[in-house]
Amino acid sequence: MPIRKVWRESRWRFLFILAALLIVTSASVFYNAKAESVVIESKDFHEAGVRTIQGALFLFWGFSAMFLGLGGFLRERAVGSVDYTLSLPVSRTRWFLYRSLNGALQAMAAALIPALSVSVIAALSGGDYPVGDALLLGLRLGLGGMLFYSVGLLASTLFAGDFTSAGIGIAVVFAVNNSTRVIESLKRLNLQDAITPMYMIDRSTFLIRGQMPWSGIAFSFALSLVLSAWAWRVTIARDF
Amino acid sequence: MKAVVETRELTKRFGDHYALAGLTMTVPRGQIVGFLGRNGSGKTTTIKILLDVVRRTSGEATVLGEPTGSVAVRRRIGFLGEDKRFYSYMTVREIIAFTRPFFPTWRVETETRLLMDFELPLNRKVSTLSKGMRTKLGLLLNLCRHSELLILDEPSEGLDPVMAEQMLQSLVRQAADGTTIFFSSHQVAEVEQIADHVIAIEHGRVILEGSLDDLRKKFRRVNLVFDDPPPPEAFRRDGVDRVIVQGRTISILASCNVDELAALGPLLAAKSVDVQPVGLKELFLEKVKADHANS
Repeated sequence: MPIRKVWRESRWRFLFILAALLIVTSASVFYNAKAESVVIESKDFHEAGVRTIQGALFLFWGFSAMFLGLGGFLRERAVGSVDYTLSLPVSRTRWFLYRSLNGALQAMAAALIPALSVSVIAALSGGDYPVGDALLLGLRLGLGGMLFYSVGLLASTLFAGDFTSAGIGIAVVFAVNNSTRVIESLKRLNLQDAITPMYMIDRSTFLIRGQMPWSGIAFSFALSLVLSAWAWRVTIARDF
Repeated sequence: MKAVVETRELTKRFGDHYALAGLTMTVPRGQIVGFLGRNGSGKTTTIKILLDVVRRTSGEATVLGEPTGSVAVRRRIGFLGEDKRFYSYMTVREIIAFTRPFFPTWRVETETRLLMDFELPLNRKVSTLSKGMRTKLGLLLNLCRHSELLILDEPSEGLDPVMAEQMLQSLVRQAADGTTIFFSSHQVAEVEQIADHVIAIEHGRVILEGSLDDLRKKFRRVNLVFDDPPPPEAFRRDGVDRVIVQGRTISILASCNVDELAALGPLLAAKSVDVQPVGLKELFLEKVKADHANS
């Protein structure tokens, strides 16, 4: 029952984000910015694929995951339905759990489906991109980037108002991405590098070579669990 | 008489402001209880604490014998908020289907009857319903549960007189089925119309509590006319709530010792003594004024 509510509330946002990410992925695959050439002519889907997942998809998915984390009781208070929700015989913890798991699954799907679409697009265009590589990179994106989702989750439990929590979420995602790219001492914490370490990509075939490290992803995922736990604590304690 | 809701020294602070300042009250089982108070007196805060939407600062509150926040208790109560807002993205049919499984005591025959009585459009989105229609939907969602306690926050707010009357009559019928009705209002007339018991609050404290019949029997206004009125202190005694001097008339609101007060008139050379019953509206207004005078 509660899962029906959280799905109904989020499904159009999820489907819109998924469609947008598929468009971004397709556009990026077909036009490989690095090669500055239309991929369909060169059939170089390996380089285009990895650069799409590591570049455009990472960037757009990061913000999308943060948006998927928004919502919850403060949002319901703004539209006036929170009293009804909280008067139902469901604990706040259960509501939070359903909402956060629904959002996390959507975020994971929004990473995996566009990543896998690279293989489909390549196949349909007469080229190839290994499903295994697409699946692994999509999975790493979804797990490592869950931090962005939990930023949205936390922002929407701390700040009332869609624009405030979204604005703060965007600022945090932007700050995390850029500070770890620009500031020397923070570079080893860069999430993009942790998700897709380019040194593990073969320079000639642009395919994954060997076992990719998971420590960075595990750290990022653990951090997202901490932020989610913080959001849960706030949800339990605050007035609506 | 067992209580369905009990609060003891309940306080709620928002920053520097105390919305509730030691609220102690008891809602008796099986009655229609009007929770009366001005706007901002703490009615909604109290109800939200009972539903655990808002957390108390201190004090105690129990609903159906359990501390507030119990999920099991929420299965045995109904609630209709002031705004009557539900999920705007659902249709009437969908929100009924969504709510039904939460409540094991849900009666489908009541649902069918109310759908016909209220003429609710099953396929319309909740967001397109008028406030009156949302009230009907809210009543349906609550009345079908056959809960032990139904809590309503300003249920007639924003309704036209016909809809308000329909709503009040629905509550009376539900109470006849054994449900305790606890409804907040700042409309004295509607409380007086259907309530058996009244709890009035001001500044987050109870200023009046009791059965409507008892209050009507207990309180009297004694009006005494003098050529030269004595000081009001001459009438201060147990049971005297308020003494007002208006020219040559002294008006006393008393909850006991009425005969003694009336007898005092001739002794103090009153030209006339008149004892009158007191309506709930007058009583409430006097209690509010007394509370302001005290604070």
